[in-house]
Amino acid sequence: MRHRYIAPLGALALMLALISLAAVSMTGQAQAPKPAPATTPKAAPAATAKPGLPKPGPAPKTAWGDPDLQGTWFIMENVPLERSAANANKQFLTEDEVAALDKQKAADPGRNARSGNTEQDVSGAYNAVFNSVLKTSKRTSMIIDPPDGKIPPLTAEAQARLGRGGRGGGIPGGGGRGNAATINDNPETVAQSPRCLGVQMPFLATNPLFAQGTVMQIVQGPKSMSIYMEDDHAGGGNRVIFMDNRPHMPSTVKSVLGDSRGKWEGNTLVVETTNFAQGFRGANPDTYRMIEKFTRVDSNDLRREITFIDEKTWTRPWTIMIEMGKTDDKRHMIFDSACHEGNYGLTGILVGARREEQAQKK
Amino acid sequence: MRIKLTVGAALAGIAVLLSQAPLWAHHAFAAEFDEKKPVNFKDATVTRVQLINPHSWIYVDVKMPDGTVENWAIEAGSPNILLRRGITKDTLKVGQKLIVDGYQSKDGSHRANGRDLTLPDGTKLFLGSSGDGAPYEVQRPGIDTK
Repeated sequence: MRHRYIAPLGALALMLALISLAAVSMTGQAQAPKPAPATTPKAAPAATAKPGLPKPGPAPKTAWGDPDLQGTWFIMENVPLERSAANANKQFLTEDEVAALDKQKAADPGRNARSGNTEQDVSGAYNAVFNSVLKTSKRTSMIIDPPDGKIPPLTAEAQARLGRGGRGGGIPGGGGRGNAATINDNPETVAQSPRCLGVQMPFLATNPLFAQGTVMQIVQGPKSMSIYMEDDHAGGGNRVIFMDNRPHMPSTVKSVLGDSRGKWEGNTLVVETTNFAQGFRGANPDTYRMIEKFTRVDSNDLRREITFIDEKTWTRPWTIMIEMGKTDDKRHMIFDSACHEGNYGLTGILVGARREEQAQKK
Repeated sequence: MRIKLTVGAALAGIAVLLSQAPLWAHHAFAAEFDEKKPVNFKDATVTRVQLINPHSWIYVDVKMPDGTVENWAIEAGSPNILLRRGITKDTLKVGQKLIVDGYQSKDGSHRANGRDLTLPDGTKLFLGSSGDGAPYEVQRPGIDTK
């Protein structure tokens, strides 16, 4: 059971390492930070009709007159965080390209290939009983700014801080990062998910084969709003965004989900989140902040844009856009994110790591 | 013998599976379930379905060769993954017959992972999403669509 967490986190660590290395290898990092861009996100062209749903109507309002953001929102298409080299300079795929990619995914026999070798057969059980392959989006990256769809280069300071292949920047092991070789040394260095510390911000669907980052529920009042973020394994998270003009908490008070303050600008709720206990993608938690914009596009659609700002880490702010939708009632449901199986994960991980060490000594 | 040993059908494309399986797939199930204890229940009856995080569980009564009945728990994906695939709380009902092909947990308890779950008419449960009930899924010709 314990390995169920080690391996995905290892994969995550590897991915982060590759991204960090790619970022480090880029040149021209020492530019002055630019202000957060005023983004005008472009909706994907010719959005396909959502099956099983009535035609979208106008964005509803709450009883007290604010735009109504409430409901359970769902990621419906797969969009990678960064644009791939294959899609360089291409913000959107054509319908034919989407169809070709989905055809390729449909033909993948790995989705339920059985093996006569029982060891392989057990290991290959991440089949359609356990995961789901979302359709390909026309959008080629969540990142809409910079226009190349890539996380901007690291500053010289961040390169020095993070080191070659370095990552994290928050509390040790806090973000499920840390040094992969020593991550299971003790309870404090073990990644966040197996410690049941809840979801990590900013809550993105970076692995939509599973449910993490794909479902959230908004409950709204005139002076505050909460977002429940479902996560199957890590324990869910419940963010509260205050909209009553109160100031941020003192900078010494930090939390994993950060400290969020929102205000309406027209039909968009603009939320600033600071006081993070851990950065995202190498950000320095002392200087890192997020500006988030929530817009109810119509009765069926919610747009969430996030600008990540940390002049100590990136040479410029960068912005992503996430489109979420409603589904039919039977698929609206939000589920309690109980922590992982039996809550024995942490003990199992540490015991397993010690046994592996002993086995290596022999 | 209470657990019938079965040999899983070897499909073509094992090499493809190995090369395309997610990185973590090689560790996770092998850590929890025992490749030396395959189970194949030809006559299992659903007694309870739990759609819960992090994993759903399907409880079945299994008639053993000696006439006794054992209750087993079969592990499946998280609820929102199943919902995305068109599986809702109404899909599986108490009393429904199932054929369970999987592996018993290493601790020897009556738990198994659902490698293949098949209805008596031969329909693979979960492995094909249910047509227009799963509009966001990539559909596979011959499996999800006729």
